Amino acid sequence: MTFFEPIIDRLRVESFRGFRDAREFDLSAAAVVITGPNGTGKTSFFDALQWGLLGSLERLESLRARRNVEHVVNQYRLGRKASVEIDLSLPSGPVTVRRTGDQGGSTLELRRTGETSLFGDEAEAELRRMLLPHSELTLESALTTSGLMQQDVMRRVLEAKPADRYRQLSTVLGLGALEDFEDAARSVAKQASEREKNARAERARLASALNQAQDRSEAAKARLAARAQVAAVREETLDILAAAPPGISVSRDGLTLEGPEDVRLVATAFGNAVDRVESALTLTRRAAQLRDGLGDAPTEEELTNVQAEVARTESARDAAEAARGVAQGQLNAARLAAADVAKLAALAVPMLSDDCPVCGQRIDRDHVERELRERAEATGTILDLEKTFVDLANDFSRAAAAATAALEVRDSAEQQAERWRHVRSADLAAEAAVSALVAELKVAKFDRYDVKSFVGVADPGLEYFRRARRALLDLLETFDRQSDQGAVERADAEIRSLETALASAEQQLAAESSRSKKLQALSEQTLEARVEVTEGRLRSIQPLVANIFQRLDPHPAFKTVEFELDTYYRKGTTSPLVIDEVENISADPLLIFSTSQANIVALSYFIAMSLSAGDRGLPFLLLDDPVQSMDDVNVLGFADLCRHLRLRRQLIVSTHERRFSSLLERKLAPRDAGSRTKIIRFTGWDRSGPTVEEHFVEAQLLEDPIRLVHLAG
Amino acid sequence: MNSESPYGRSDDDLLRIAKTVLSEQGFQVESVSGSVDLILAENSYFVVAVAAMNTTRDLILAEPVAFEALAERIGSAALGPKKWDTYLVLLTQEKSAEDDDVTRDLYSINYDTSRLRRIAHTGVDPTPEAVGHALAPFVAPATSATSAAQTDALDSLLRVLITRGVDGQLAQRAITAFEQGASLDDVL
Repeated sequence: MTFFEPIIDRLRVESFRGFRDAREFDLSAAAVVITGPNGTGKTSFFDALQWGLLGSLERLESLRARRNVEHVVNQYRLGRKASVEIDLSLPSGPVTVRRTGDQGGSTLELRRTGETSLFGDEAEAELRRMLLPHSELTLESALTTSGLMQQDVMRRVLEAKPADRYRQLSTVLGLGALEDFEDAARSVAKQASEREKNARAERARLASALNQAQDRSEAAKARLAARAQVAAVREETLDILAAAPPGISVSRDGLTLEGPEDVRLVATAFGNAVDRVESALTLTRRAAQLRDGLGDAPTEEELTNVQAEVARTESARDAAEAARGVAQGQLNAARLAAADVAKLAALAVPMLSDDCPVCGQRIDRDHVERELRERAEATGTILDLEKTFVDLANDFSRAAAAATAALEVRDSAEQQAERWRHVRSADLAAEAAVSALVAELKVAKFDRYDVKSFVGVADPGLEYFRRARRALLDLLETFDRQSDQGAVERADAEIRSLETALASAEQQLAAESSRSKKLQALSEQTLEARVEVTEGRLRSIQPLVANIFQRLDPHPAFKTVEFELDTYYRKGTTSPLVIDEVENISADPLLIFSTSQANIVALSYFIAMSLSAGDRGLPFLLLDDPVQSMDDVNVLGFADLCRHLRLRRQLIVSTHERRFSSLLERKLAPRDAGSRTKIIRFTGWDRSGPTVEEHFVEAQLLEDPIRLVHLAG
Repeated sequence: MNSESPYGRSDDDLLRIAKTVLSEQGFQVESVSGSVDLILAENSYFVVAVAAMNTTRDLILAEPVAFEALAERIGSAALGPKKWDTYLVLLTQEKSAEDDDVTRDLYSINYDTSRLRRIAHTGVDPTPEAVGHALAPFVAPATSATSAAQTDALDSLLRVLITRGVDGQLAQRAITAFEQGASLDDVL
């Protein structure tokens, strides 16, 4: 029986977690059993190995974020650096790694005899390379999934999300690259699909452009066929231009209608002539309208006379008004005096006796009062004054009427004078517009430029200019026939170019479509193939997991464990299942197993991962208290399994159960001289750190290794 | 061929396979006839006695007989430390019934750790794999020849892609480019 050569020879710990003082462990054995009650430093021992190799403690990682919690340095050595030194015995020779640091960080030093020490990242990389020479796994990944199983991270594999567990499993199985390749294939297929889409859009754009060019060509050709010949239209136009009405002359020599630009210029000039003549004609017509029915214009003398009459009548009216005012005043005063007399008479009436003392007749007081009042008001003075006032009021009315009449005459005269001013202004404008035609008309001349002559020739002239402009525009359209020809040629050239481009785009599209189809198939098939490869790999490890599980035999019915592989949203997932093969029932172990039974599933998985990795895995297996809460038969099964494990890996296993440590000591006792088993007993703990007893297990050499069978034989 | 005994019929097929499996694991093996036929196997760590019966009921009945026979042999031999590593393994091809009494009986056989360990397995197919599985504690755990350590994942993927109808050249170019860290878009 060949035992695995120990890899971890020695461990030296100082100021690290439970270790205050320096402590050295000799681990140079194929199997090392760490034993002792809880709280004596066993887990710190495994922490030291993990921290020494990785520089982190996965189970305490959550403490790293807490600034004031130092979880690396021993609490009696705060302020100093923790130190863990590991001597490794590797095929390439002995190596010592030493890590110093605290929760804030650490530095690794790697020493080889006769070589310069490596530090930091260089040392970390070299350590990984030495321990995992045939694997792409990180040291952390290898250690946490198949190197070191600690009690409180034991069930993490089971409790992980299916996708995380799948990644973990894929990585350990060396399949991490598959998912990366699948991502790359999916990405390139997506890019190819995008290119195909772009090529399709370009082809559609070119096809549309080709259709438009073909439409343009057809339309230009149709126009070309429908247009008259330029020369004939030009002659017609020149004839029209020559047919100027009397009073207007056009020089044919000055008119050039050779090209469309010439025609455009002449057409513009005739258009301008239309505008100018129309404008001048409008002004002359307005002046004529203003004069129409206006009568004669008042002279200056007439205006002066009417103004003098106005002044005279207003003066007379004012004088009459003043005289009437004086008479009014006098009349009012007389009426006030008479009223006073009447009041006095009225006051005297009550004092009269009932009968007249003279005639003895009855006195009617009301009658007396009325009589008195009438007599007081009808005195001669008042009557004269009233007559005077009425005469003066009549005088005023007459004077006022005369003044009003004089004003109306004056206003009428002034309005007439104003209208005449407008007429003269319009005449001037019309004359100016007509005179300006001399300079403004470039293509024709009037015989005379006075308004009267102009009015006589303007209407036929306007008609002529309009006709000429229309003819010129027709000629221009005819010239467009030439541009239609150019348009046809241009469109045909564009069509040829687009046809070439479209053919190229068709080829490009065909190529991109073919490429996209192939890459899409590659991407889709990669997903399926990745699942198939992973399933194959998983199937290859499955018997080992089941084998380990059955050795530990935690459940009377569910005796097989498997990992179910699935693809969910294009991502792989893995879920553990335990199976009762007799009843053909499978279930999630976390749902039906006790904690210890579920731990056995995790332990089976972990050990299978380690063994299946072969020489790609870590050369040691560190198990911190793997049998806690296990039944005796499970413990016995695990102890027997340890006999096999130490043949494949250096085995370092701890337990707090004395019975199990005794069992392991017995089961792992060497039975030949070629192997060693070490017992490290943590007997207690004080402030300096754990108290430890160490010894190598005495070999149980058998004189007659095969005794019973020989006896039976 | 099955041999008759007062406690039922032994399953000679299972015994023969168990003998082969244990021999291949380096055990010295001997067949022992008696009230219950046994395969007796021994190496420097273990003493294993294997009994195989036709039915689960026979297995339960044969267990105390085989146990006594093995105990007697141990007592008469100076096994030294191996006396703590002696196992009686009881096998049957019959699948364990739903009978609760049988389940209880099997449980008490497997979980009784007094004197020497007994392991009862039902539903053991007459194949080296199934028997090897039942004898797992004495057999080194084997890793598959096609496990992760043996083949490159991308090589496996390439083979599967080609069998699934993907253009071989395309798949090869893609995987080569991926391995070289090149952009697939540039290469394909």
